[in-house]
Amino acid sequence: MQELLGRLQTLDPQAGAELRIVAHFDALVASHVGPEALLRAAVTLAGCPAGYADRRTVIIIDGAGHRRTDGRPVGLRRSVPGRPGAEVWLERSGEPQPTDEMIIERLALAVSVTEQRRLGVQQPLLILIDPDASAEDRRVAGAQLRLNGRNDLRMVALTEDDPLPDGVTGASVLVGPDHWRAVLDLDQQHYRVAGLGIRGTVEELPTSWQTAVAARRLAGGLLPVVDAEDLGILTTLADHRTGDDHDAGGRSRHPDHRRLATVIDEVPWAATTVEALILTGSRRSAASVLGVHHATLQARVERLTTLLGYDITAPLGTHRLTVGYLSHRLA
Amino acid sequence: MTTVEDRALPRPPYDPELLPMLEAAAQQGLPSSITLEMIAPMRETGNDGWAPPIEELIADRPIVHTERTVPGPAGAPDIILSILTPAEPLAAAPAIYHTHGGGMIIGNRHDGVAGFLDLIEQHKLVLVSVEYRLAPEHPDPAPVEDCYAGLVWTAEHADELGIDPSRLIIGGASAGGGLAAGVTLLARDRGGPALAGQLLLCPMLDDRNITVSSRQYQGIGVWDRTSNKTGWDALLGEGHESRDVSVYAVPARADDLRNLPPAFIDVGSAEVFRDEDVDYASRIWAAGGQAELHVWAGGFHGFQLMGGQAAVSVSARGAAEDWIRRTLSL
Repeated sequence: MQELLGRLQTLDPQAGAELRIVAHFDALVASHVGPEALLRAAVTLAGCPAGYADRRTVIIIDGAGHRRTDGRPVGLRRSVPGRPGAEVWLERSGEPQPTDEMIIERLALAVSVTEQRRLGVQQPLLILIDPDASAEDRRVAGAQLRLNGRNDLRMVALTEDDPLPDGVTGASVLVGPDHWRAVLDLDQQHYRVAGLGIRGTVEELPTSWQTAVAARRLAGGLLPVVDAEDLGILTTLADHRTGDDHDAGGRSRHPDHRRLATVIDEVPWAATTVEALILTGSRRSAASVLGVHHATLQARVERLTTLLGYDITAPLGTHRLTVGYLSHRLA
Repeated sequence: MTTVEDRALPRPPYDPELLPMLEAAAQQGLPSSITLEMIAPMRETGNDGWAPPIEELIADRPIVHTERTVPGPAGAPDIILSILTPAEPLAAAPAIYHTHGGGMIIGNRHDGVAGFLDLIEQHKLVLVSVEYRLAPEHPDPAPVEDCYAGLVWTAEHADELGIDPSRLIIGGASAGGGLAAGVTLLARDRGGPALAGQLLLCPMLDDRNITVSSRQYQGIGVWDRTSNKTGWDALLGEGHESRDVSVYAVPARADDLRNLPPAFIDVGSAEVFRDEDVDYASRIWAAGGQAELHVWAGGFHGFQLMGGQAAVSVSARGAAEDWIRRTLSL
């Protein structure tokens, strides 16, 4: 009945209002709604526009309930727990209201829960790349995705910021503290930046994922897409970082690593120059790739030799630099 | 009477975005089932009605509120009209004559006005909202005759109010929609005033509780089967279901729906009034009249009046405003 009009629009700043805010979002989460409906609830409760943005989507509901997809986070902002890069916000133009903090808090939590639920749909893939998953779970997940019996399967690793090819989706996976995207590459998409894992059967997908992650760590400006099949055993360099020669934080105690890390930190051109030398195998090609004069590169090589304490152009020195640099990147 | 089988009837679910509003309504002291003895305490908690007073609603909008005491029906007390005019009025403005809701038993002329403020401001409409007497103290025909008397006075004083009498529509929600439909029938049968349209928002049209939807919603939602019986009993006295009653009180019982102004009817798919409102629209069409019908999926009774930016609420409000613009050539 219309008698309630106004009463519900103007939630007064009392203890009851906060309870109502919590109940409102809880009911929506229980109904499995998406981000837009949650934003609409925030607009209803706050009486001002509200927005959601992640890497690919922007949704803004204005004060009249109309949807926009252009705009950036402004006003009272809150990041969405468990979704790096995702934010919600309230566009309050006048005086902040006492319930604003509560509303943005519950909105962020509700979006987090519903988004994680949505990602949960891709659960089979997460089972398949988990080295600790049971054989039975792996068989069921493989059957769900119709992968059993194939031997050309491989994982592709993308960071949260890498562009996804059109139509490609992936599961969100934690790599260290970061959210990465695990993609099962069935149709050999073209990626702009990616690490490609080794090919194999369903049983080998955990290894494919690990090698894809290693390959992605090595990808950079000079070689944006790295294929683990080209790296072979080099992808395992990352596996040693928790051994005796590393400290509690996973940092290497080996002098080669420490020196290289310091040089890369302090010398602006060091990382790209080392990478160019490793990837091209010759000083002349490295100079060309970097767009610098041969004499400039020669001077850099001599400087690196001094700083690192070994001749990086000698046959063994070249390998020492390659292994040192790759394991530095993988750490 | 509700039977066990009735309670087990399947029914359309509520829209998920509306569910929290429904729960909030219950917590704000609006039970699903309202009985006769609950009327007095409900009126008390509502103070001067459930909505804030019109002045509070207007706040700093460029709208002027005046009250007029005008003659009621013959032999009955005067009635109060609230008149909302733009601060810079037109010489002859389109106008809405508003009959508030509240099941015939509660509420006042301030209720439901908030939904029209944007239109008044945007299009310089004039809105007249009538304070009619409530049942059960004042049973039929007091409410509908008060509403009619106010409309007659408004039309006769169109010049003074700055109203273009050829662009006057009547509108209301819930019981106010039923009263608007009843006044429209009265205006047709008494030869005036002329109405350009009838805006019937989730209107309360049928006293008999005989439709499927009237049996689907019992003990849940807003204004369930029990509340509906309470409202009609208060207005018409017990036993009305099997008696002949005035079609101006119960428009669903009118056999003749010819020669009515264009109707806008909306209703939720999940409320008692769904089927009687759909039927009213169908019968207007059958009689060669014009009606625009919107049944909003998962809407509970009055969802479109509660404000809020749920997608279905935004669509429902937009449809009603759009119809008003077309009908009044705004």
